[in-house]
Amino acid sequence: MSVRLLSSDSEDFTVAKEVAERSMLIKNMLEDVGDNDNPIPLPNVTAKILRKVIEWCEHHLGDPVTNDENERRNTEIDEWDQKFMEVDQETLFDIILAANYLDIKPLLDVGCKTVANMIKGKTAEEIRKIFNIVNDLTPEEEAQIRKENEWAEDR
Amino acid sequence: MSLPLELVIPILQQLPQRHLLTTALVSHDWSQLSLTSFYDSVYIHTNHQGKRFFEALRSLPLVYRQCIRAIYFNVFPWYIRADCVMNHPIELLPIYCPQLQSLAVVHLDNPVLPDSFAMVDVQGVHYSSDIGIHIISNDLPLCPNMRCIGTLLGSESLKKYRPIFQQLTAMSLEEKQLFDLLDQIPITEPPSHVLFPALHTLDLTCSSDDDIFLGVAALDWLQYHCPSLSHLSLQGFSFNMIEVPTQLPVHASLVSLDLKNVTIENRHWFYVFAALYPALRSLALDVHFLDSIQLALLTDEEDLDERVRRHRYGMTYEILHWIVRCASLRSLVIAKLGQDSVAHDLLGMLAGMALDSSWDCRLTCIAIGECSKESFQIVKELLGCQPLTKHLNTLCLPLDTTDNDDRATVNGCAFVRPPTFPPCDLAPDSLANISSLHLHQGFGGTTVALVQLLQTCTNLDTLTLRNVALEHDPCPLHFPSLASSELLTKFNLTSLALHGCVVYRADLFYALLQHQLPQLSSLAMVNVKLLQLGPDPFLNLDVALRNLYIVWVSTEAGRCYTLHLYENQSSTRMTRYTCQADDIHRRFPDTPVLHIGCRYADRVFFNRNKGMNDSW
Repeated sequence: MSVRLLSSDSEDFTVAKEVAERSMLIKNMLEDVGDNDNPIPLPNVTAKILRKVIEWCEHHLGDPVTNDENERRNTEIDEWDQKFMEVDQETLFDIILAANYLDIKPLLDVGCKTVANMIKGKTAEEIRKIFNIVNDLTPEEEAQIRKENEWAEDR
Repeated sequence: MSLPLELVIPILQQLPQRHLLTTALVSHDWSQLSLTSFYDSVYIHTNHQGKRFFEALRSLPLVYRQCIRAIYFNVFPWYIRADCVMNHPIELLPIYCPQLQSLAVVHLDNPVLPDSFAMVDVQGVHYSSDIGIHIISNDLPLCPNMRCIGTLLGSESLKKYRPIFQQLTAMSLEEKQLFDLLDQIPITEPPSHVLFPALHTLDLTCSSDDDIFLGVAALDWLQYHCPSLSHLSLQGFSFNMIEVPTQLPVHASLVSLDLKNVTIENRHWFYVFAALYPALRSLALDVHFLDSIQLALLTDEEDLDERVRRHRYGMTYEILHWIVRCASLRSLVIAKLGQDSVAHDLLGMLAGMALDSSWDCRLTCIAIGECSKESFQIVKELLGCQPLTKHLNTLCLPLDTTDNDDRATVNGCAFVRPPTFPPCDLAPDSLANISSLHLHQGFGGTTVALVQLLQTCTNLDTLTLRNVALEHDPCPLHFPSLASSELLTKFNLTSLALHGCVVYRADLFYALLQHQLPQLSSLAMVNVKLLQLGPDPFLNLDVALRNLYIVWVSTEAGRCYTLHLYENQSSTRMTRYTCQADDIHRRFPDTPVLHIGCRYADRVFFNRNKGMNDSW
């Protein structure tokens, strides 16, 4: 059984049903429409990103599914995923957005962990620079936040 | 490209808590999202920190106070004091934290189970509330959303919680509180009102010095009023003579039973437990039997020795049958079992039955506490029994030896050295399946040969050592290649915890950590002496640590009971953590006692003298 997927830039992908069903969104759609040869339109995902997502789903086809929040949070990114995520920042964000939209939790986890690792050990200023964020906190507000949460580092 | 705000939440959820205080300073949006996530669970490590937290609560905006769903007080075993929580204005908790669901005093002392020091702090789930004193007085008012109370409540507080008993998932009761409930809310026929429909964890604690007896009726009551109970711990109770009822209730939801400091006077009790709880996956035994004086009072038989022997044999036999017949059992913890030799006999019988195939052992975890002074011998027998160990992945073993033990026999080797683990005559694959190994001893004398151990445990992931001496060098007779080899083998260890250990040749230990453990992600050293460290106290780890715990570590440069730990980032890649001895114990005032460098550690735990001296 295969399924046709249509990217936002109108590229047609044919993938095995079980690969497509890693996406809860597509899985639910397939259940709703039943067997049907029409391509599923994915207006939020470009062909470039969809290709990456399909590659990921194919590699992780046999993975066991865990709903244990703690377990999911504490697993490290494996080597293949690390390589897979070595892309430019824009692509990385697009993959995470697509995982979020397509509802592929394990891919969303890997993507978010990759970004989280970029954040660890950085100062607030460095984080702003990486993600192009404008600092809209006044020095007073910043001091207030520091003061409010000082207890946590004071043992 | 900037990060879309909808992605910030799942990303922050992947960050360990301490990073959230940095991300809170990035921008307005980030601040709000970070602190919302940060305040979900609050961990308090020292009394000083607790004070600061309660002060901060007063001015913390409601939007963050509303996020607080759990508060965990981290109590050190060597600092247990009844007032550690009582000093805080907990009567204000329902006002300050209206959404509070969990309140637990996390007790870190666990003499047998894997030393959870490195885990409890961060997980907050493996807690046990067996402190046996009123940690929280009658002052805790009703928090209407409470689900999980991980500490004893005073009886006045408990009354206030009566209206929400049906939503509680975890709680603790004292003997009097339990008996009051037994009297007030009996079992009704036909069944109507169930008191604790949602309860899955219950700690029953007896803090009285007198013998307080539990009967089948009490267990029957628990089965009726706690139909979802999965974890039951009974502490300090006694079980005496019994008429085994013809029809026993079955509490099939229970998967874990923990008997702590429990006295069992009659062997039929083990039969009752086995029948009551047929679905156990985990069983922990810290059980006393009657001693010969008590037995003498109960019997007029002349031959007391014979009576003692029969009593002990009967007990051992019933426990054996309980374990062997419980097909679901996967984890067996024997903390203490009657007199010294009982645990030894029991393990011997279990091994015998596994060997002659009358028992298909499916245990994945065996943990043994102090069973006898010759425990080293038992360990060797146990490891030699392949049918018993074939499914094991977790082992907790005592290493005690006596002065009389023949060292050559203990070590399985003619090379003269102190009693050493692993013994050289261990079958090569006997530890090969073990991924989690915990070695401990009570009165010292045994050495662990670290490299030899890692070489023997090829799949080892987690290693905890408690009260042992650590020697770097392997046996030169049996592992000559290891001793001389320039080639450094890499090991897969990810978590190493040392508690109360002496490390000889700390310079080589450092080298091992630096070059041979590339997967290391958690390092805990508590009350550890590092000897022969050499002139450079810098442990330079090129790994990304998730946990770094340094408490009471001393070297020859300074005997330090308190440490300051300064964290400074020397480059984008490396962070250096520096410990300095306090002034009193510092011999060389300006020399740092310890430097540890690694890629930024996710969770750092260290003691500062402020928290240790002033408040505890």
